[in-house]
Amino acid sequence: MFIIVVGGGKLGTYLARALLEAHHEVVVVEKIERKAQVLAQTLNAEIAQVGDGCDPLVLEEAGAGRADVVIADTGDDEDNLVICLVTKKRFSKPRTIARVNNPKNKQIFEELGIDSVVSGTEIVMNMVAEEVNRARV
Amino acid sequence: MKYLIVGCGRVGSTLAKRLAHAGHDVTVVDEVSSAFKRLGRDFPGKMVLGTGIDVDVLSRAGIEQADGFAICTQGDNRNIMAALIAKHHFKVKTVVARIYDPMRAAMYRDFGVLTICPTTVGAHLMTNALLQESYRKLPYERHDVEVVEFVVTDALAGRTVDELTIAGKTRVSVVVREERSLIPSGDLRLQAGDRVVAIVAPEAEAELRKLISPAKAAR
Repeated sequence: MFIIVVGGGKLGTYLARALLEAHHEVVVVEKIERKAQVLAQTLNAEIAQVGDGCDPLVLEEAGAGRADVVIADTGDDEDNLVICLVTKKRFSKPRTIARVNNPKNKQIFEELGIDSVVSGTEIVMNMVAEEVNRARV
Repeated sequence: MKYLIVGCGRVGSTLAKRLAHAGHDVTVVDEVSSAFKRLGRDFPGKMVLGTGIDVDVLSRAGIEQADGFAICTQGDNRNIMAALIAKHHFKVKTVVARIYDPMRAAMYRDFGVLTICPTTVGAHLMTNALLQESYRKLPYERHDVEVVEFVVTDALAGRTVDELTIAGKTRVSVVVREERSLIPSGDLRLQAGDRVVAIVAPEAEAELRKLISPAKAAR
């Protein structure tokens, strides 16, 4: 599959590495040039692209027209929402996956048509809740 | 009416004060408490500390009861997200967002949010000021209709309002003559020096300019 990852922070870097190891085609779009350079050095020079993933032209250049999946994993929920909405509006093909920091935004994103929404906070909270339940039994 | 404004910068605070002055019930949200200083001491509305893209903060600010919602923080993405939350999650009737990027502003209009793009409006006004054209577009935040203004030249004088009307596409709305605004009927004859304000469908603009081309040639 061809996967575009927007946001080349820690999560984006490890995600891209794992996807490459699983033999997927990957492009990482990162706004900050220095971060993109680090990505190019540690992973693969060809996959890193400098640009603002909220900009449809940047997404197009990254290949969003033929991508199977676009993943928005920046640290800002508002940016992740815009990345996914722009993808949905301009390119019909890719599935959109968004990371949310505020777990309450999960429902909002789903209401606005984002295909999959992942909340790290929620996952950890669920685990804590499971632990609490187990302790009670 | 009850209005919720997120972002208490220069625009947000001015907007809040105006609405409050007009007797409306106003609540302002900002992340930084010092921003509320802009509202002045006698601001009668409420102030809520927090971010506009958090449903809990918006609930606390009373968004469920709001008749209108305006967002004008520095971030375009934050503004659009808050506007979408207000429109689609809380079903606020009127939602308006300030978006600096003209491309994004146009795109988000399709999501049912009224967007105001100060970049476009500002560039418009400055272009008009520089060119001093007799024909100019007035700032109007819709993309399917234009509001234009032009001065009647000697060459155009004597034509009637009807002669400048293309059914369903253009309409002369106001003729300003000697500092008096006339709402014209079709048989009103234009005089040199009249200022005409017309509404025109974007696809008919070239046609209208041709009709008034004497005005353009005499510029």
